[in-house]
Amino acid sequence: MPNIFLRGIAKRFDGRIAIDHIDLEVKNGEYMAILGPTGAGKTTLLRMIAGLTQPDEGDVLIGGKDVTKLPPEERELAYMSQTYSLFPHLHVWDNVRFSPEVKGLPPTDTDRLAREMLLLVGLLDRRDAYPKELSGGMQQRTALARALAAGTNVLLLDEPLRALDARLRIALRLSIRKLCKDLGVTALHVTHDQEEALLVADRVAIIRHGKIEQLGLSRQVYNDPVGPFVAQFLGEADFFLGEVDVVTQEKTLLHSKTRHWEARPSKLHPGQDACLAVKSENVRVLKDGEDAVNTFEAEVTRRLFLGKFIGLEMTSAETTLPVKVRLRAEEGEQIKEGSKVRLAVEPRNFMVFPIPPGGLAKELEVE
Amino acid sequence: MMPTVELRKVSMRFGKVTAAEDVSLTIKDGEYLAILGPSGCGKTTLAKMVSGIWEPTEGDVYIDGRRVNGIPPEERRVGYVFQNIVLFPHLTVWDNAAYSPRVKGLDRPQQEKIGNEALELVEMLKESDKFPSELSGGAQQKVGLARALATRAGLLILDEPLSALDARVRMELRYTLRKLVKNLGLTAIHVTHDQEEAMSVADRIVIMRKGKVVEDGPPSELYHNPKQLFTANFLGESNFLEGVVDRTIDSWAVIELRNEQFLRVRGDGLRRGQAVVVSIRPEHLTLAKVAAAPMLTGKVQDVHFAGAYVRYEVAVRTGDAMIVDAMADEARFNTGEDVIVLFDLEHVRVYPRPYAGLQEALKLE
Amino acid sequence: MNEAKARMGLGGTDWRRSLLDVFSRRGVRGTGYGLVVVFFIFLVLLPTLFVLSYLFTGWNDIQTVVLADPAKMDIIWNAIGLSFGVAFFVTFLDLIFGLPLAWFIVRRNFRGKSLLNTIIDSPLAVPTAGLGISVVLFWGVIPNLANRPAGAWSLFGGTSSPFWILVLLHLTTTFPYMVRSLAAILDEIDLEYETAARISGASKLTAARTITLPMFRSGLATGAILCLAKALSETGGVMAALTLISGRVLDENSALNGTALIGVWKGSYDAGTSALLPALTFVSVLMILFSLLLLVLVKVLTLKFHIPWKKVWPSAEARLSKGAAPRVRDGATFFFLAIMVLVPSFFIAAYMATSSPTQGVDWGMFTNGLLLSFGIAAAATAVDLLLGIPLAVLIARGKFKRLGGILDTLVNIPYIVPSAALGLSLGFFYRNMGIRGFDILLVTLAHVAFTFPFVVRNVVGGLEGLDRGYEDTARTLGARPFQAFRKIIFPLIKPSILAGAIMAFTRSIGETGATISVSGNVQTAPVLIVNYIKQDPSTLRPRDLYTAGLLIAVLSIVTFVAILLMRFVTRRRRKNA
Repeated sequence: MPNIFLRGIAKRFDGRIAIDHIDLEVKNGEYMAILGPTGAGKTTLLRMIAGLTQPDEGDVLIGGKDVTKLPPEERELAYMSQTYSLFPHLHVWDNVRFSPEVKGLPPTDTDRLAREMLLLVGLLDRRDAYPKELSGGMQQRTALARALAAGTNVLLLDEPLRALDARLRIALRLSIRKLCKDLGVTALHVTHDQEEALLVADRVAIIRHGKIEQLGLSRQVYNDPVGPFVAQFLGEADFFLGEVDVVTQEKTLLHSKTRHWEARPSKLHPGQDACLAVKSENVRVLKDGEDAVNTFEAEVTRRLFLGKFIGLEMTSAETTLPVKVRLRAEEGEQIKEGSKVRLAVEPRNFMVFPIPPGGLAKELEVE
Repeated sequence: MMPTVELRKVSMRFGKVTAAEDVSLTIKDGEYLAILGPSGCGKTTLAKMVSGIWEPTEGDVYIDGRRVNGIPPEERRVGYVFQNIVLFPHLTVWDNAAYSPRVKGLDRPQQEKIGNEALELVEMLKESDKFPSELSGGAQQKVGLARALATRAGLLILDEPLSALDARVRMELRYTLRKLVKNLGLTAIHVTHDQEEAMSVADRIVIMRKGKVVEDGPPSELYHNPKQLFTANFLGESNFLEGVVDRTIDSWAVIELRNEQFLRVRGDGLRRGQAVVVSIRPEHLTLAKVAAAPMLTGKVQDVHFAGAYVRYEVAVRTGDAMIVDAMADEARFNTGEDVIVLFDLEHVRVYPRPYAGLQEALKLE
Repeated sequence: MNEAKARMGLGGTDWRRSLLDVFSRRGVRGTGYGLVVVFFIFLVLLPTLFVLSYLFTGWNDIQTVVLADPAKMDIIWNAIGLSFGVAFFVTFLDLIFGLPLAWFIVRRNFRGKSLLNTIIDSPLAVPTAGLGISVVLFWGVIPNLANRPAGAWSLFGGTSSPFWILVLLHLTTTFPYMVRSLAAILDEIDLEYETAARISGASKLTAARTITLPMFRSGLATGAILCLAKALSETGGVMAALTLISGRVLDENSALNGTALIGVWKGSYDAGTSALLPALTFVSVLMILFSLLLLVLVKVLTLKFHIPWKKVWPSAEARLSKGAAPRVRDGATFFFLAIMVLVPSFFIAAYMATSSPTQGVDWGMFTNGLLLSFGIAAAATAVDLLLGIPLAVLIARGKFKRLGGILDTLVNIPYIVPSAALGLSLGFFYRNMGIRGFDILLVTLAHVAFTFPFVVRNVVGGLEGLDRGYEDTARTLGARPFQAFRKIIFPLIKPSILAGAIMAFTRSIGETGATISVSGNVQTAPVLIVNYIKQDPSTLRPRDLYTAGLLIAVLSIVTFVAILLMRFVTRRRRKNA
């Protein structure tokens, strides 16, 4: 029995389509990430599940029960907003106690629940502090404890890490997942940060313009994107254009004005205009004398140090877009701006897609 | 020649609160400097002091060798990009970009030349007639950049310019920023809390914490050879293991970690009995089935896919939880498996154990 | 954890929860809100506008008795002209001097800012009748007054022009409102916009003129409307001032403005001249209609009005931004504040210091007047809160945004309508229904009507400033709407509620016009004050300026304490939020 079930959910604001008929099943105990750019509809979707916004069409089922017409307080779930909304006039203890208290639980149980949750997030010693006295990370943990103290099976998190410093985000990312898994809570984690989504989630739903583009395991959406947008929204990708020549079970062969490409098997047919995509870390820099399939030449215009990786931006005759390559630190050591290099892509890393209806450039816009 | 900037022992105090303390800093002509640190570390304070928005309580600020204390912002020649973008909502994109030449009294043809140039540089000329509210966040910030460039100043200050934007948009704009600044040869001060952003745009990074400078250097230097524990933890991620130097032999040292586990590392500067912290980055560890020193044994607790790499959480015999990152196509281990964690000797760093305790030194906020 | 979860489903079965269940049902809540709206319409709105119906029902009388009588029409047009003329001019002066003062308060950081704010607000503590007396004592001609302390009048003989005296009076009644609303809006405009302008090379003046001021239009509109409304509505101070400078009891041939005319004619009507009814109502109708028109006009104008920002004069504006020019500007502003607003407001104290009561103080009447004023004010405030808080919740948080918008506009009407006209209208409304007597009750109802907007506007403001996330989160955590209101919303908007209550209370205490026009028999303190300065036919001097001063002093002190309380409370709110 899926814990959250959305059927045909749609919502308009002033004539603009915010959510365009979405179906979604979140399994019991699953940690699902909803990933997309700002304005894609992620927050609207979450608010409709929480009952804070009413859908124009469709049904929301939680734990098998149709809650579409129910107000938020009658749905069995907890919701944490991007800014946490900690009650400023109550200290940490009263904030965390809030849910069991308003639900009418006896005081001993309320206290026990609150203590348990504060222990889990490591803030029991700050129970008398007011929210404004806490650091950003502590506020986030308090909000989490408050949500978990609601004792429900479903937790909705609206960009729970966005308000934190970048480095803190990285440190706290997995802690929310751990908490939910330990407590057996089903979680929906909304974010615009693709690295965060991939790391924390069992499955990722990529949403754009109010529609789910793709839903699958982290590995799947990353390595087998359903289209160019998903291909470049997760990680970084480079794109080339070509026309399909031959499609077999093992590969697709294409050609452009200047050359031939060998790519993954695909569902296109000969003569069709296509675009090829490859993740930046899968573009190899060939050593002198080395040969490979799909070799082409490029010149390095920009070199960025990315810590684990070196990011190189290059120009090439094979495409009008800049070619972005990610190399491990050791490999990228010697390559400087202005270097001329030979690049290659293994056919199994080359994805093939039909040219999107509005054109490739429009499809690749990240905002 | 672009301006140089020098801060000499500047401090900023608001009553009992010290935002910046005794900071001295020099920025060369044409240098792209990032000031990096957690919220409240004083980085924005420095930006505001250089631009003249705030006057330092103590110390002197020099731009191009000239002392600028007391000179109001409108008389310093500085371009400034704001975290909250702060485009003038009642003016069009073009009027925003051309604001500086206009209020300086330049004639109309010059205003147009400068305004158009600036918008062209950020590729926003086509949106000239739009109002800020009609643009996306990234587009708005580009206009903010154009407005700063239109001051024709050689010194550009960027105060958390990308913090308000989506992660994906940030990645794109990083390239744009560095490219623009370098092509124009500007001196730039870029304030941020995002260490990945700082590493990718800057020639040199200054790390700040609680109002003071911790250390500075080129990104790769700071990343591969951090002198301070805080830097090792704040810039990128690191694993930290507490231990004591058991013995030194020639150029090696053997460190006794918790649970009587031993690790052999380079011994430069270490003495027997010294309390230390060993640090190594996740990507400099490898999981294997076959032992080879230096190494620790452990068990895989969890596996996470991060796209270009796979992250393993490994509980090692010392009782510590370690993070190991492997390239996606090389990752072959599963949760629950017993593994050997191999250390890349070249990248192991050893620090004296801090007096106030490891946790305090590593605090991120 | 799991047993707690299992037990959660039960919830307490005590009577409190059952009651909560009943009241949380959507139908019950809807009915409750409906009742509040009905009460608002029948208790506040309808009585306020009732007199407008007379335009139709009494059109014949109006035509024959009023429109056909050129003398009466002259009186009416002169009065209305004086009212609106003074209102416009005063608002204009308020804007000119209020803007730099507001800027000074908001943008500068200095110790004693709170003290300055309190000083600027202090004229609000004095009942307007008292302001009328004080202003004339300082600036005007008062025939036959002994022991008069030296003031501005000593320099040029004093003015006896009704226009100028009313202008000088209204500077004291409206200037604090202008400064307050300008400062409030300016405070909301992020300083960063000016910073961005200055770092682009604009001088302070250029930045303020091209960037901040255009973003500020709504603030200017609000301030202007507040001042116009206050100036048009004022009765007690006007009557006091005009009485003093004319040296005799006012009648329809004295120089009067709109509200004074209503006061005078109502007095004659009560004394038996029932033929005045058409003229009385016609004047009231005109005042109401023109005020409503003015409100709309100002709103429209400020939307269309563009503060020019295209042209710049860099060197001139730079010079004006530094050195002597800003200091001269600040000096002029503070001079204006001191000499045109503060000193005239409290000048009666100078008189009190140098004289004594002419007759023995009638402590009985004195005390009754005070008790009556406080009693009515307290009762009116209580009703305001009872009715106003739910209405404010409906406006700010209701499901139907359009309904909320309409209500929000309607709530402003009792505020814009001059209180003398409001009182008259309300009196007619109830008496037409056959309610005779109950004068105190009717006066209280009138006070409810014109103080109502203060509570609603403040609570709406508080609710709108409250992050919706708090209630949303509370509800997702399981709180019913009532629980969310009681535990989360109410504590966080307490300061706004308190501020509204205090504003309503102080406004009611100082009110003269509405009281007089409902009933001549209810002798609240402000009414007594005006009576005390009416001329004693035997001595040809004001009857008892000193006792009037005593009343003014007591009222002022109480109100001042209330204002201090409000400042304290709203400052605490800013710290916690």
